[in-house]
Amino acid sequence: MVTEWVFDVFVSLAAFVGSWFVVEWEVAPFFVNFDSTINDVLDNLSGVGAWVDWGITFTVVGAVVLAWIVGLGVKLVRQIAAHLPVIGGSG
Amino acid sequence: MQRLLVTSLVASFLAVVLAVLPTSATPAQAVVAFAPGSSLNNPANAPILVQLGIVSGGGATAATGATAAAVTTGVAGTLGFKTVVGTSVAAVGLMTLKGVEAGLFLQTDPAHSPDGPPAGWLNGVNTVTLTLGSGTATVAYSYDAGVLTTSIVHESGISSCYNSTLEYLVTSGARGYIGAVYPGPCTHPTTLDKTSTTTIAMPSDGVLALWGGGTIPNQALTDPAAWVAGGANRLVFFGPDHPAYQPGAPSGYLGTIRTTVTCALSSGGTTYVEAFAEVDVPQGDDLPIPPASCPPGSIAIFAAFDYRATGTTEWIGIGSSEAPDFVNDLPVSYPDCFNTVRECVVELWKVGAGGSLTSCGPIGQYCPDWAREATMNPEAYRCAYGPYGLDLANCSMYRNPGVGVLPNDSGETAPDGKPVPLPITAPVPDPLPNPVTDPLTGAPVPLPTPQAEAESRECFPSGWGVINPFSWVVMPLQCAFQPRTSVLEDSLGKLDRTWSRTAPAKIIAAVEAWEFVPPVSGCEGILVDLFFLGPPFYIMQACPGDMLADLAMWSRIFGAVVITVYGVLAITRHVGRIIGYGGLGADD
Repeated sequence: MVTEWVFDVFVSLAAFVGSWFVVEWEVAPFFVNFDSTINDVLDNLSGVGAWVDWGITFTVVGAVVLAWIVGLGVKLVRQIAAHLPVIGGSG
Repeated sequence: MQRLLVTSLVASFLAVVLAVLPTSATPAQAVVAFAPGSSLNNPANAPILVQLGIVSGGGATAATGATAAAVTTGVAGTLGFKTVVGTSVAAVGLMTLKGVEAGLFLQTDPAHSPDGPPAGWLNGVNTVTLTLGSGTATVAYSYDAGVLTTSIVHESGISSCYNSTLEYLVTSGARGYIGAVYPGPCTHPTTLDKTSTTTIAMPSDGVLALWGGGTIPNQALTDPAAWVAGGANRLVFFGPDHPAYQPGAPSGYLGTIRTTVTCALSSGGTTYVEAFAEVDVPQGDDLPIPPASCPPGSIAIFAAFDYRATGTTEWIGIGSSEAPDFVNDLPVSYPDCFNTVRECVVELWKVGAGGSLTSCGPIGQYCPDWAREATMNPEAYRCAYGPYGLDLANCSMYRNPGVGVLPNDSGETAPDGKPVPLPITAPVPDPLPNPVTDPLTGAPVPLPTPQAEAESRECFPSGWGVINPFSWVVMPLQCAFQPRTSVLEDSLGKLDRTWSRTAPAKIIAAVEAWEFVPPVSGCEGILVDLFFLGPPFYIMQACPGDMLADLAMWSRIFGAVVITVYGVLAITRHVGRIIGYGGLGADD
């Protein structure tokens, strides 16, 4: 009963938040088909695979983006922690 | 005591997690189920049940386990919305039976012509097409010593007589009329009685052809060796002196069975899937029908089965089934049930204060008086198909709450072509089917395990437990902290109903559906289309033998080195900045 009540409170809260959003709304077709657009571009890139090693290129670009995300995340955590007195922050 | 309380809280938390995880990980069910076996001679007149109109989810290809019995001469389609109990699609109220075409393979059975001439097959063709519609038909034959004894019960039939030089196509048959004219050299009666047995003299060079007028539903062949034909096709039987006589009907079926299912997509288009099964069965035995399922987000609207003998290239139709037009519109009318992996089912909800919704359960067991209350106040209940509201009549299959779902097809058709469900006040069948059966197949409808029984709990000790003080502590705590699955499912259902209609959920669903295909290594170059200025051509072609092939190779090597160096520098820079290091090549 207690757990059910807690769970129901959580669900009701989430449902309440969900009710803030627009219901009668559809995702734009270009967004739904965004992968098709990208795939068309990638398909065109395939033709010049003899000139550019796409495997290495996408691997390196992906690793750079990942490193950037990791660095950004660490900095963000440090910034937040700096404001929490309980872990030594200055409030 | 404190430790016990903490233990209970931890156990409760784990119970919540365990209760939630299986719900979210439940695999979606398949779309179309074909029976694993089917018979060509249809001795039991059992239909192939093709479930059409069920939403695909999760890409499952296994059969739903639904029902389908198996034969080819009667193909029935059930369609409509799915219920929580799974296989009772036919009971949902948008059920429609549709006449379909089905083929009937024929065989020579010595048991039915012990003393007569052997049978042959016109041009070697041993299959005909039956056009099924409405009405009934029963055809039974036996052959005995040059005399064909025929008994026909047929709403629409024509009988004719052949000889070796002249074909008589009597066209006097019509629905409701049974007649036969036998001119020429044949010495047959001019009329076949509708219900009695008629004995026809069978000249050795003649042939008797019987066919229906295209309205033979659920063909009931009481004799596997019967001869019957429908529509423009006909089945003919030749004596050994006839020029078209070809002895040697196939002794068995060695070849391939193909299932083809056409699937309607939410984009409005269609796709199709095929499945194949190699068969090697004796004549008259069961043939396996390979299962096929539509991909996620689509719905089956047409299914066909073909047979191809080993060593041949011709596919011979066995049967097919087509859904009514409105099924084609389901992916467009209810896109949220098709463009995500969710599986929508028809559900009955009780509307509470403030518009809150409470599920009435898979068989309506939590709303025992809903039909009476809804009659007085239709706003008190809501019928829904996933996130979409339906007319309350579509939930009338729950009109016997707690027992199971019931047929609710009124048999009428709305002006828009959709079947009209029964009103919610429609009487419950008396006596109630027990178990509740699929109205189409007669198969028992599997009901979910009664949750009330499965989750019944005693919150206080009883029997010998009353003398155990530990029970007086643990059992109330269990009741207090261990949630019931049904309550959690209802809550999650409410949450899902709210969120699945919102913009963020739709965006997430769209993103989840994205599928990127990485470029492959090609050498054909880039296509340049000049439209009206000239023919299209490629630039930067660097396939082996092309002039630019060597240059492209060095470009590929140089580019790989450059991008790798750039990557090393950039990664060290991004990571190094975490600790104040500028990375390789930086000034600091």
